[in-house]
Amino acid sequence: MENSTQESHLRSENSVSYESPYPIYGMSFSPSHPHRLALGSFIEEYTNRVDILSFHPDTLSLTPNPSLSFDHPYPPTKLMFHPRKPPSSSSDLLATSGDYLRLWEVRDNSVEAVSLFNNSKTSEFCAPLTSFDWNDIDPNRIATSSIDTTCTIWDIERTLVETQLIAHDKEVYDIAWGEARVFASVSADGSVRIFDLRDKEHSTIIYESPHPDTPLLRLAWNKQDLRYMATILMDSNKVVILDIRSPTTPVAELERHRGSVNAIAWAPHSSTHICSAGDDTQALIWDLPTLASPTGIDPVCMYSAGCEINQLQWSAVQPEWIAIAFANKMQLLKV
Amino acid sequence: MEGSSGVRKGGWRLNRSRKSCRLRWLNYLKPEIKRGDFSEDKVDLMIRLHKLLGNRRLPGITSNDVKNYWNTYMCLKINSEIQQQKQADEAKSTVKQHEVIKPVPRTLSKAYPWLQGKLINSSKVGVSEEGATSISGSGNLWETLSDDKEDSEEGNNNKCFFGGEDGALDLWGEELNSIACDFLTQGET
Repeated sequence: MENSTQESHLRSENSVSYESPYPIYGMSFSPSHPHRLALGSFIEEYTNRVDILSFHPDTLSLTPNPSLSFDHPYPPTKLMFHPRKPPSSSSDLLATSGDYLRLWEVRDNSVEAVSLFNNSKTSEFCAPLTSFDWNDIDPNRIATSSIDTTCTIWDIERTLVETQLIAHDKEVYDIAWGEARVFASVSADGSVRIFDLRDKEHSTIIYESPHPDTPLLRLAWNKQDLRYMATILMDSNKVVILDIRSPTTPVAELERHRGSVNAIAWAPHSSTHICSAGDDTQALIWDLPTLASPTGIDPVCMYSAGCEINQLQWSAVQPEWIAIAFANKMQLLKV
Repeated sequence: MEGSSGVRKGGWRLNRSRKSCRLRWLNYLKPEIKRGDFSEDKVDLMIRLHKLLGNRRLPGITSNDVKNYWNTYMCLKINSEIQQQKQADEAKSTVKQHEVIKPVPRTLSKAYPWLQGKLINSSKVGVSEEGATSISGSGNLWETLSDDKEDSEEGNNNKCFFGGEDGALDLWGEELNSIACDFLTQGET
């Protein structure tokens, strides 16, 4: 049975909206405070903000907490809460990337800057960071990707560089952990590479974009089935699904978006579902079949926002909610 | 004999050669030359122009004066600065000592055994087998997975994308049927 596209209209019980005073990009759900979200502004200047919101599923509302809002230099390229619940403390740790990797402690009524990480040997400045990923198996590790072609593994407690690798030939745009010591990254050089910290002398190229020098922008590693990854190409409507056991050839290419894809996220609770969003203003949910279909794969669900969707997060704690960001709005969609 | 002294008898009698007279005039007596110590802005100008022009002449200052000043004062100053820079570098290096490693990229013509095995094992058990930290992590992850599965079941039973439309419910039904079919197929095999 081939699934047909199911178009659904906006209803009050299906979505929750929040309008920010400024354009937004970075988003993160808190694993330890189930109703907490972080939002980062995207103002192309030095002064930017990070806001902490509270989500109320019973009343379907989102409220900002002004005492937890703080200044952030440059737009945050990624926001991520600590992936585990801290055993004793009621506060939350939030990491942000941009000009530096920074760590913030989100308390009940205030936010404190905890650490600033610099990996530059010759300068007091760090090369701009494009993204990072917090290792959920060993939360003392964060991996950052940078426009200077390197990926850096940080020791969070000691605020030190554990490892710095020249990972690619050009800017590195995204990075994702698979295991405690295995991560992958995508680059402007058009390749997806896997690194194992137990063998730092080698990396493995598992995909290269079909047209030379077409950058790869985002990478998502399926945490429910580590054999699969998804990536997107610059100015392309494709979501490329990779099986790391079959390098070079994608196992699927999802091609129903009518504009460039900007964000992808695997379902946190299902190994076969993935969500994508892009310039066609659509967020699509796909159910990947076990066998390749000659006519292509159709999404199982579709949602249309008012304008281009830039960012997408699928909550791991409440998997029935997906967050999308477009212009200065954030919406929670119920799955 | 008169010629060897360089000056005629009956005029000024100098015990200097023509060469030393010329040097004295060029380096000291010429009216355009500024006398006295170099002012601070002159020193700064000297440094900047030296960087800009190299060793070409500065107006109003003789090459000899520049050379003498440089050898007398600037050497000390520059050496001092170099010393400070070295100390600063040492301080920095104690803070951030790390190598930048450049891994050699490989492509796989077939599945890489250790990677395949490792990752498959991980996908089965949910964590890598790596000792105390992982064991603790394993516990937490299993709890998380259990929670997710419960949510997933709830989702399958009660919720679907964008509400309770019949179409959406049918979609979930289709998915369940699909899963059942796969299961039956595997059973048959």
